[in-house]
Amino acid sequence: MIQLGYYAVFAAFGMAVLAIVLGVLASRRESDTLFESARNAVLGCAFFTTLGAAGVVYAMFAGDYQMKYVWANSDRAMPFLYKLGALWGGQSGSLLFWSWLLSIYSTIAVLKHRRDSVRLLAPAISTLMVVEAFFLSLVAFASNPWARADFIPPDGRGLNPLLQHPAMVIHPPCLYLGMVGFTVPFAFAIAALVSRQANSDWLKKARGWAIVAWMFLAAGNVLGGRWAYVELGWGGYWAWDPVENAAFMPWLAGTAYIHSAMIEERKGMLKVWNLVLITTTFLLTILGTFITRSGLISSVHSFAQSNIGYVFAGFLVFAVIVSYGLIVYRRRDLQGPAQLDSYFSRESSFLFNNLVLLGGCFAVLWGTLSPILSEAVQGTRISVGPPFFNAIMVPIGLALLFLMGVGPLIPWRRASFGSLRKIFTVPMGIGLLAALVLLVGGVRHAYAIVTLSIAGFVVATIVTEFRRGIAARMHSTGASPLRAFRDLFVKGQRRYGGYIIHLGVVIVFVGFAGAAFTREGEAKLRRGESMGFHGYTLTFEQLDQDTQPGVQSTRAQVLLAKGARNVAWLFPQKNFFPKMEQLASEVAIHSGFDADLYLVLADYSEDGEEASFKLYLNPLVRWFWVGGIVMVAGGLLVLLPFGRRSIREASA
Amino acid sequence: MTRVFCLLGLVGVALLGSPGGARASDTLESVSQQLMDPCDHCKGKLLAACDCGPAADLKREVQRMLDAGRSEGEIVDSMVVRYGPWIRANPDRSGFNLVVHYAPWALLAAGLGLLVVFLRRVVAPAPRLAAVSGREIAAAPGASLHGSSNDESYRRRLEAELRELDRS
Repeated sequence: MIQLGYYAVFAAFGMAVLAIVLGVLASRRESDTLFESARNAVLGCAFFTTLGAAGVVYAMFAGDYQMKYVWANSDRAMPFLYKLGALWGGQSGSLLFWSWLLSIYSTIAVLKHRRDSVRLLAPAISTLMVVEAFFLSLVAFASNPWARADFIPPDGRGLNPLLQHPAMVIHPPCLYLGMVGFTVPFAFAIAALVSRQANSDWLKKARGWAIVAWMFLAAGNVLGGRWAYVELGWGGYWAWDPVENAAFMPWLAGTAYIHSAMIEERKGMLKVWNLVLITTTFLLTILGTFITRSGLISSVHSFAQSNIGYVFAGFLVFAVIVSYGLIVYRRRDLQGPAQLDSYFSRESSFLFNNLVLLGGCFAVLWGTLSPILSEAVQGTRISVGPPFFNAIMVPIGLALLFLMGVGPLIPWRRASFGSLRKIFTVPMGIGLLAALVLLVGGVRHAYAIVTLSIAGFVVATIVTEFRRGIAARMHSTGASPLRAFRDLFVKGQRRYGGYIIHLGVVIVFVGFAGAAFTREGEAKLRRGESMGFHGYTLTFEQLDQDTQPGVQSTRAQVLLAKGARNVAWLFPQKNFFPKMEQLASEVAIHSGFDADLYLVLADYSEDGEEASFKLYLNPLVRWFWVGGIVMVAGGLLVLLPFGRRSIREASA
Repeated sequence: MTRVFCLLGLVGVALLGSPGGARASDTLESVSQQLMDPCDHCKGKLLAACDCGPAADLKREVQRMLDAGRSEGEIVDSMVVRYGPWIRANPDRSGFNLVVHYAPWALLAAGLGLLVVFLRRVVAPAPRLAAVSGREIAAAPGASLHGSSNDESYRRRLEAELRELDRS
């Protein structure tokens, strides 16, 4: 079974190459038979890649520690889920996992669009399979998880303890589903260029895929933040680490694409721009993997580094030249109407949104690459840390938040000043009121006030949109308000689902605003001793030692009181993993909508009489997670097919 | 009106872009926000975000220097002398680092310029259409019966837009 997986990867690679060739031939001859063969080759590729991935997973469960990858990422004592998660715990496995996801995406794509025209689909298949073949070739030839040691170790080394966390089982798949997912809309874009069908057909096909990928990427980033927050023990969830940036950049570019694609769908303009955006998004996913995998940029997250950097760089250069080159080469096909009716229209607000999103995307890219550039240009090593990113990204984020309130209220095509004033008065008033309340309440942090005030404005605009939509539905169908509200998601699925996504983004920003008020402290306490911390009282009761196979933990018991009331027992831990000679903190968090109390056991005396703690008061952090959940829920509202079904029912 | 709001917003954002906010300076927290972690194992982390041995040592030293009355700038400078420029979490503003700092802003400005040029070129209000829709709004049938004419036109626009969405 295990060796079967090894051969399956080669077979999958062969199938991918076959699918590329058949796809090219099918599109040249516009032959349905060849197209069908290409499609079957994709299915075959998916089958063999699945077999390959299953082989590695099986080896994890069977405990074949002679396989270096299995030895390095798992051990016998690991629970079921982590053994599964070990598949993407290291480099070669995560490349295999990437290939597997892409093969599954490709399969669903070819099946879903099987009745569509050969001319667009065949080159799309070839594009998908070029990417697939590249990743499979890395697995097969450069970074093979089946490499074996010449002796049989009794047990594995175990998964990096930092990765042994439930969020780590979901976070990478989500992130990968997002990163890999953007290959599909990219493939449609390339296919449109190759087949000279630069109408908006590809855009419509790509739409759902782009939103799926976007949603997974959003969820993946939020889950990554969650993991960093509970596992890394420094009190925060986002550090502008290169690997975090790598996953954030395609999300920014993808967001820009999803918005500007709407303009092309409506007006047929911005053809080149949309092709550039989706291509850039895809290239950023590859660049992101390159950054993560090459070890080019040092990062706390680089759990998997090696020398495949050059191969990646080569593929990246190839993809840049081919895809942008193709756009330039086909520029004559891409001329469309270029006319807007007004500066004050949804269209132009989307263009500003694109500017801000791409500006942010570039800033993140620039900040991430600057250390390398600096070494190359001036020969000195510099660091570009959070202060740099915050200085740029905070204003950009606020501009974006503001546009998010403005855009949806401005009608398509044009708006008159009178109507704009009428629409915006109440939301603006609410925003200003929020600022006033905060000022009166004693908040003096400028960014926080602006953020929360704009957040109030945006929420008010979203509520306004729903209110007006419900009123319109009630008026035209005579439905009850609740029914009308439900109808909005059925009839205007994309629009109102989109607003829910916006609401999620606003909630995320509320979480960001809280970061302005983070407080931290340190304390060394003897047993039974208490300390006060911003309205809380913490009493260190005792220290327990516990030795389990594979881990020795020291656990402090701390009683948390707020005012005079005891709220919770907190158990921050320090774990030592002897096999990996690694220490890891397990933080204790008392979480609420107002603030989290975040407690780290920093040090302790041998006799257990004394312990030092690091404490953080993190206001509004929970809003960040809640916002993430709302964003995903909004994405599902856009994607789930309940709208289509009821329309079909209605027409039947 | 919107223009005024937009301008206000942009000005506000620009003002905030300059380092501000009510952050206390000359504290261990503020200094460790400006330095990177010195140890190799935690490369790329902010000093404030790290609790490894070398980070803790450096923080203790920063605290000693603060207690001795040295300012934030002096402490950061002395660390640059000891470790090299990479210890700064935010590169200083000299030489190539100026490019590092201002390239994103320059690109944003250039993008804004291009966008304005683009908009000037493509925005061409079709006068006839404008007149028609204006009249439509004014003479919306049943406007007087169902609330203001604005709501009525919104309703019709929404219906049309939703139909359009369903079609695609």
